[in-house]
Amino acid sequence: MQENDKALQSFLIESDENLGQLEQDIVALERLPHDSERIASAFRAIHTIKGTCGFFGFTQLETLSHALEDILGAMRDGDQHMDLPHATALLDGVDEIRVFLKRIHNDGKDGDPAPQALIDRLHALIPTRTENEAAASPSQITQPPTEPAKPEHTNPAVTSEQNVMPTSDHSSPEKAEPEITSQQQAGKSDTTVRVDVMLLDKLMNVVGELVLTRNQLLQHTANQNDAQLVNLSQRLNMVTSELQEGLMQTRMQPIRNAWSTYPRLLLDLERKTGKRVTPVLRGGDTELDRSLLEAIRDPLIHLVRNAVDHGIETPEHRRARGKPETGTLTMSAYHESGNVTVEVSDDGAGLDSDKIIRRAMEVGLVRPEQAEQLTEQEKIRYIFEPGFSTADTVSDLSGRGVGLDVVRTNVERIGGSIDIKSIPGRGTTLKLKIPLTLAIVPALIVRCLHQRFAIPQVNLMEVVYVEADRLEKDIETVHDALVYRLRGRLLPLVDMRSLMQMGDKETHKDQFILVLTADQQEFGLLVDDVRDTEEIVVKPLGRLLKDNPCFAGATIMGDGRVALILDVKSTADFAGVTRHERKLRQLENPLDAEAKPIRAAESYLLVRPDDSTGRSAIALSRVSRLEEISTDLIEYSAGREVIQYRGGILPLIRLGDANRSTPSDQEIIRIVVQPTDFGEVGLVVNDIIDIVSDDEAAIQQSAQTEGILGAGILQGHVTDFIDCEALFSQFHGKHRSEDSNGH
Amino acid sequence: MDTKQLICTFSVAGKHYGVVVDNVQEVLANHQITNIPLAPPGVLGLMNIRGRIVPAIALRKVLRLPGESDEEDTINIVINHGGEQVGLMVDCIGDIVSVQPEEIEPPPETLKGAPRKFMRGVFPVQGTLYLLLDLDTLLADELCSRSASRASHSVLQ
Repeated sequence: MQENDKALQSFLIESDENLGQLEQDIVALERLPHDSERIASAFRAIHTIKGTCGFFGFTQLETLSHALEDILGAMRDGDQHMDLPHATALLDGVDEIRVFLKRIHNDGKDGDPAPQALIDRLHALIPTRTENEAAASPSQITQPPTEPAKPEHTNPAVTSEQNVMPTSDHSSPEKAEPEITSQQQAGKSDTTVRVDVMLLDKLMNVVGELVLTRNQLLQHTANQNDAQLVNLSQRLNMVTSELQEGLMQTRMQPIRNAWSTYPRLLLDLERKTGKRVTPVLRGGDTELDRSLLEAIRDPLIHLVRNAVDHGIETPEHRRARGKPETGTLTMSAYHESGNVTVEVSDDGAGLDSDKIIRRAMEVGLVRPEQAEQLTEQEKIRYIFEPGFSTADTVSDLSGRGVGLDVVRTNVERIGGSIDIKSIPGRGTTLKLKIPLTLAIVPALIVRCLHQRFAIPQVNLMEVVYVEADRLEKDIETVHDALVYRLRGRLLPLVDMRSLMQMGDKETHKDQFILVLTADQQEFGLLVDDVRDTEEIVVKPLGRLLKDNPCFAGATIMGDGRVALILDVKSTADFAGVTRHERKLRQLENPLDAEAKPIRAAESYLLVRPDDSTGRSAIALSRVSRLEEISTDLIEYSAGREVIQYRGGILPLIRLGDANRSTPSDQEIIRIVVQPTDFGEVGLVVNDIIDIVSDDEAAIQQSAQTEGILGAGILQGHVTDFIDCEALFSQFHGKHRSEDSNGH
Repeated sequence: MDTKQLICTFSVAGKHYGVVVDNVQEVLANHQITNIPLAPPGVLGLMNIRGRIVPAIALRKVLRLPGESDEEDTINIVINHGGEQVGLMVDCIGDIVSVQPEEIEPPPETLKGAPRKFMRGVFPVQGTLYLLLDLDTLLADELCSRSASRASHSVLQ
């Protein structure tokens, strides 16, 4: 009994795979009817299903699959070729088989026969043969539908023997097929196993626990003086990380799995709309966590439907505009900065931003005076708003036009984002950014009052440190809204304490601004302290807290306490710093905006070149990155200090005393990486103090030293302004002359 | 056949209550609780119970009882409710008593106000009346499920 259940289970799984294959083959054949490999593959798929049906005694299902097999058999024999009516009938047959399989899954029986109309339709498509032809391929006709096909399944060789007698070429493919299949399956089963997804999820939870325990242990051992314990915990640390990585791998699935239904979907769409579409799929091997794959499956289908329904024009339209009659729908997936990007792009009519904005005004999403100030891109983004549809005719293909906001919500729920680009007349591209995995994410731990919060690194752009005595000056208030000038831009600020209603400010303490992005909008979150980055295990908050406005989940910290994980997107919504709301606020207070014009001040990086000399300022526009390295990484090239940096060689210039010898012991130095005409150069400084943006910064005294523009007063200190140009050309010149001397 | 029902008794603000023991997973004392900003007022915070995140319910608040419970020495009855765990914060844990079904009577007419809807019935233990709580309605109460800040925020907008 148990055995039988297992066999039935694997029949259901295999049949499902076979049907998927069959479906793809049918769709492909409809385009290229003479692809003999495809025909063989389709035939093999249905043949396996039919054969196993006999084994289990599902006679009704067998009858249906037999009809399909007959049609495909005729195609294999060249008596018939795939066209649209055939493909449609076959696909309807596939759908019906799925109904059967579902019934078998639920009841264990195949139940009622398939609809007679479908059977008749299928039978009508089987070419009638003369006696001679029939003799040529006996296996096709001589088998009555109800005959149990057990022998075929249990021993493929028997089937082949039945077909040996007629020496026709036709039967040979079939003869070979079952053997090939079994060989392939045997080969595959040697290296792969099927694992229940539930088991994987459970294992993932257990590994999550392990990661937590590891974090706790590491924190504990950090305070211990036991060398052996430290050793062991380090090893545990590594093993855990490897285990976690490995298990993540098992949950990864290629995105192709989500795409497999598209050819069929497109065929249906083509039939309904009369449009012609060629799908182009790129990067199907790109993998992502299966739960995420499931989560984007429906949104992607929606986008494909939308693209065909609203994007790609009818063949007549396309011809009139000088485009090929057949539209192209490109699906591509690739890895990009820790995310998976999935694009759906069509070469259709593109979006009409005026139409979108008219529609947005109609439904009251935007006021006319606001509309004028929106950029094209901002106008287009209104199609993601709830209750929006620009289709002149609402069709049953893309739902009722409520789609794109649902797509956006679904994508954002899993921590992704959606973006749209459109060129009128050329087409539309929708870009989905999906995180690789959800269960364990890197996060920055911050403190607000007495409580810790985890901020997902994905949303974090940078952290700005504001000294207590500069708080008043740096953080300005525009009509009750806090703003900070970040390199000349206005950054809306949200004070975590007041947003979370956590009580009063700790006055006169240093603060940190976390620059976060949500929905392509930047905002700053004011917190009290920044701790560490950690891999955190995301745990759900449960039913009682599901409608909380700001948190995505919770995690357990190294000390066993719970910390909440900030949902940056919904926090932004809750605080009202998302695009539209902020726009509205600005437009409502035009006077405020004018009263405090934002002066585009140059920002400077304040550094201390070495122990002795004072402060220097480097124009921030000349800084690409700041790095901290250990001095033992410094190597020498042509007598000059260099380090290996991002796969290249970065020459170093010491800002301070140039003759200072490298200390023999290991030391951390700070490097300001700057772009120059001849590649990047690193300025070595002793300390990085701050970033200031001061429009009053002026050079009050001209320089006496080469490489320095002059001195001025910044933050109440005399500060040298570094002349990067001079410094680099001097450095480069020296370098050159040394080079030429050498050769 | 034994039809007796086992009930775990406890007290909050000097009043006596009980929950069916089948729902009770464990009882913890002085468990660390992390506050949740903007949470429903009846939800005191989150606890880490062996790697699970469990919300703690301020039973005193949900039952609309007066006074503030001292967070330091409260007892937590961890219950299993529809597959999820929830901690009920109580002042004092009592005995587990067995009660015949016919001993449980409907709450008296004189019991009025919000708490009445949380009562499944009343049962006596050694002359004292205990109120049997209905967890479904208790946890569905707006003090447990609706984020208060969200309501106030929408007023601002």
